[in-house]
Amino acid sequence: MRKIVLLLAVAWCTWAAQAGEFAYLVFTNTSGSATVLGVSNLRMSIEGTSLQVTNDEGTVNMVLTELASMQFSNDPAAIDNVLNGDETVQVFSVSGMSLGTFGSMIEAAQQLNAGVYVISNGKNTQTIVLQ
Amino acid sequence: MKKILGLVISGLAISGLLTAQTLNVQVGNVTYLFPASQAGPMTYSDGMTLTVMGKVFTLSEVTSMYVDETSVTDNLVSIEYGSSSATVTVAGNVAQYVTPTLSGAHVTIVQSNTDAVSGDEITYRLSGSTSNGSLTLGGEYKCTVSLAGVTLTNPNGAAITITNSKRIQLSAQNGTTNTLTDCAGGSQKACIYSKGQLQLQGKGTLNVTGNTKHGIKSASYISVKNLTLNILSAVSDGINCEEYMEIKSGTVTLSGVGDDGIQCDLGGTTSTGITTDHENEDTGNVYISGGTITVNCEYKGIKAAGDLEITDGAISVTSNAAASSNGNHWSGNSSTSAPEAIEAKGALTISGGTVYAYSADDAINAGGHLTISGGYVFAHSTNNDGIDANGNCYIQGGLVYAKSSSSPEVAIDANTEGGYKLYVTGGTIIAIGGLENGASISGGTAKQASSWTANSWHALYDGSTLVVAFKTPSSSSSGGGGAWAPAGPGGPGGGGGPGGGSQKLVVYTSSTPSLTSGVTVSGGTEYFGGMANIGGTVSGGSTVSLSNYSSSGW
Repeated sequence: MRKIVLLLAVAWCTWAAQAGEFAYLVFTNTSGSATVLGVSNLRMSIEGTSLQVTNDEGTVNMVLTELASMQFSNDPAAIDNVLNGDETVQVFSVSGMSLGTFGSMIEAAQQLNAGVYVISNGKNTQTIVLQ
Repeated sequence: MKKILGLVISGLAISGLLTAQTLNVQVGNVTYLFPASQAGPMTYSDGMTLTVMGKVFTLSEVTSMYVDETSVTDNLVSIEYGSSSATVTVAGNVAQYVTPTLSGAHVTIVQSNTDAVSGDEITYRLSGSTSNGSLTLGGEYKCTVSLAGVTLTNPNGAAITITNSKRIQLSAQNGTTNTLTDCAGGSQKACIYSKGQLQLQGKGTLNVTGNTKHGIKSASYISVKNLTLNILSAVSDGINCEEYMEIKSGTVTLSGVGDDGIQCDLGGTTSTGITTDHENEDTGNVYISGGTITVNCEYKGIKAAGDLEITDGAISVTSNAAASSNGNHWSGNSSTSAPEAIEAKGALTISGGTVYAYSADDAINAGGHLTISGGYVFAHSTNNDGIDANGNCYIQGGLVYAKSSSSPEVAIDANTEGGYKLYVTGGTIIAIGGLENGASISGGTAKQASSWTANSWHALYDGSTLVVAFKTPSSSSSGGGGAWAPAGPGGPGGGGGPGGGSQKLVVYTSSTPSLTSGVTVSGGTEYFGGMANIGGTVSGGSTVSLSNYSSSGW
């Protein structure tokens, strides 16, 4: 199974690189942490002092003064750090409610139900879809 | 592991849906399109600004941002006019150089680049329709304004004002019709004004109405290529430019023009002389090397402050102002702008093409030397010379059919009083009104008809070869006009009375001319609005008695 996953991941990265398209928009704040959001139907608007970002997975608000940059990406380091690392991760619902702490992303994925979650390892944050 | 697999498959599924990703940054009615592949890092600063591909946005002014699949053409700025507003889209790679300002459907754009962007210039694409809109374009680097089916009327000024002093291509896209109208009683110089060089081109149609002054004005040169350009009306000149004017091809029709049809002035105080590829040229010259040009104006049809050079094309100029009773002033005009159909203040040369010129003053006039070495030239003046050179006049080739008013005017004139002369060395000439006294005739023979029949088809032979069939005017001039009613080549000849008193009919061919009047013409190709026929067959008629030319004049 691991081999299949690896094969699919390589295929995806190869296709994306060839197409020149991106799956994510990565926001980096002034402290260095990142928020990774899928670009499908992604819309942003300025709401007072916040940047409100909506995509297929939900809505995220970010404080404008804490934002440093954003960049399209397929395989950002932030994603690797969260998904593939062995670090402890915190899992939140898209509404921001904490759902618990897991020993690794793999452990979290094994225990969570299908759905949309926000994952953080303390440095980086990513919204993921589990099926 | 199963869920991880699901996650990866989900990623693949999302990726598969994506085609061309674009970040749209919307600021009011202006949308900037940044291809995701070009966007790179986009930086926020102090919660106040966002910089994307060098374009700095004030966040409080950003209406929205979104990612979609809009395709982006580099270097393109699109302006879509609506009845009371306009929308502008700007390609991301030029966003940092383009600052649009909108007020209703009045669009002002300042372009700041001073060099090529992505190896090319910026193109502004105009479409849509409004009765209250305009485009004002400033900048310091060349650009293209592409007309993609736009109807633009400005009730308060010019339709298009370009303050950029660099080269501007104004191009009508193939298959589109574009109509530009300015206001009456305004302060603008033209419906389309450009401070810089204006290259009019494209295979579409551009209709222009100048309700205050000129139809099109450039403070630099104007060139025309391919375009179908219609000046529907203009209070002053149809096309007015400086430095030089060049028509290479296309169809240029000027009608309802209150002053001159095409006028080219010197930009500075001293001519640069002709330069290679016209680089930095300022001569006041007009060059016509192709196209179909029809001018219907009040005074001068084509006026060059410098030289005028016609090498090809089909040119028809009718100047409508009539002479007043004293012959020195022209109706409706208190200025010195006499109604000469085609005028060059410098030299005038015709080496090809077809030229039809009709006016009250000289039909074709050169301030310097005038040379015809080819082409088909028809020049009819109702109150002056048909063809007039203030220097020498050289007829070296081509077919020339000229008519003047009565003596002392002549069909083909040179400035004999100034020490110049008419030199005829080739071509074919039909001159109703005669040639300037003292003309030098060589390379052929000139003969004069002792009398001629008005409104009659004549056949001119060189030896036994039919050179041209031509129709004489409906009457001989006596100083007050003489209408030439165009007629089809197949019509019956004759029908008019004999040519009157002082007007002479002179013909010249390369060998020995002979003339038959009252012929019937069939087939062939019409020239000069049906006043001549080449390649046709003639029949009937009677021989016209011709006498030889004397060097002391006629």
